[in-house]
Amino acid sequence: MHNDDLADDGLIQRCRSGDDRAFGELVAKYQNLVYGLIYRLAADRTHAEDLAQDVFLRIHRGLPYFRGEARLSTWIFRIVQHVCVETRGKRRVNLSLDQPPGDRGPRSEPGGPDTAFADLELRDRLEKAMAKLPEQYRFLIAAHYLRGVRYEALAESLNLPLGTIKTHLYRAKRRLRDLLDT
Amino acid sequence: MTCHDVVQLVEAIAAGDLEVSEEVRRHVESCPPCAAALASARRIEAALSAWPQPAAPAAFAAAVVARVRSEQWTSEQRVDRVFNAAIAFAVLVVIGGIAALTNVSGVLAGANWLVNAVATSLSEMAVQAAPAIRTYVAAVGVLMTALLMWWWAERRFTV
Repeated sequence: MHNDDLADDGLIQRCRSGDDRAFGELVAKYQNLVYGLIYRLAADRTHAEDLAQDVFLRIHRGLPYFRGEARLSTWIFRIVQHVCVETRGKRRVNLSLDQPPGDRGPRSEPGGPDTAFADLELRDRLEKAMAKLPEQYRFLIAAHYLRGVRYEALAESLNLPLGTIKTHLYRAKRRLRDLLDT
Repeated sequence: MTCHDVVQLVEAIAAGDLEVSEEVRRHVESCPPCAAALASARRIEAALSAWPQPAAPAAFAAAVVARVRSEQWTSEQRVDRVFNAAIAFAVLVVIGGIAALTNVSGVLAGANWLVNAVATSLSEMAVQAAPAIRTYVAAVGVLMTALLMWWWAERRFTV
């Protein structure tokens, strides 16, 4: 068993035995993962913080029933997914690729003086394009490009083979490219 | 190799999961649309890799723990209300049981005694109630069980 999994097991046991500080440690350990993922999937920062708190409340409620068959991070991924899907059903994200192709500002060559601006512009358009992707693609991309998230964890959380995860990621990025190129 | 074949591979190549074969290289060098697709895929890959890693606000963990405690307190209050209602119900059951066992005329007689203060004496009531002593014991048992459950819940759900 991985060292991190052992540490998680210890944290879970302490949480179950009523150790208050253990849950605080668990939140501190996973807060950037949960917040980062939700931040990328939600429309605004305030909304992201509330949703991230909701995720941890669900984790706290569910800890007594967590059987440890999957990794803690995998279980957390699933909760994040559920919270995002439920929220998306209630509130629509008003983002669109409304910038016409001819109105994208000056193009610059890599390494040129406007590179930073071009990167920002691309990132902005990328985030808008992300909002147009199907739920699962959006989740995959948001999770994959968070530091420390491995293909294996994604495969486990989505209950899909590793190869399928990679294929879905390529398809998701192709959809992004299509959205950005049109 | 066709454009269709190459376009299927550009994301994997851009992600570094697939090495560019000689065949693909030759095609891309001679095909501007495929070259553009690969360049675009690489730009997207670079932008996604450089995507800022949003960090949780400084007080996030404290806010979560505070929400958990608040939720626990609310849950505890709910449990308290349920047990209060259970005890009130148990008391009503006991009173109802007494009334039923001592029969209506007995209750009315008791009420009359209270109103008139002299109708019956306490000893007569005791004699009247004596046959129902098992019911009294059972009612006290129910009440004590409810109190014990309340005590247990207080210990179990108090942070």
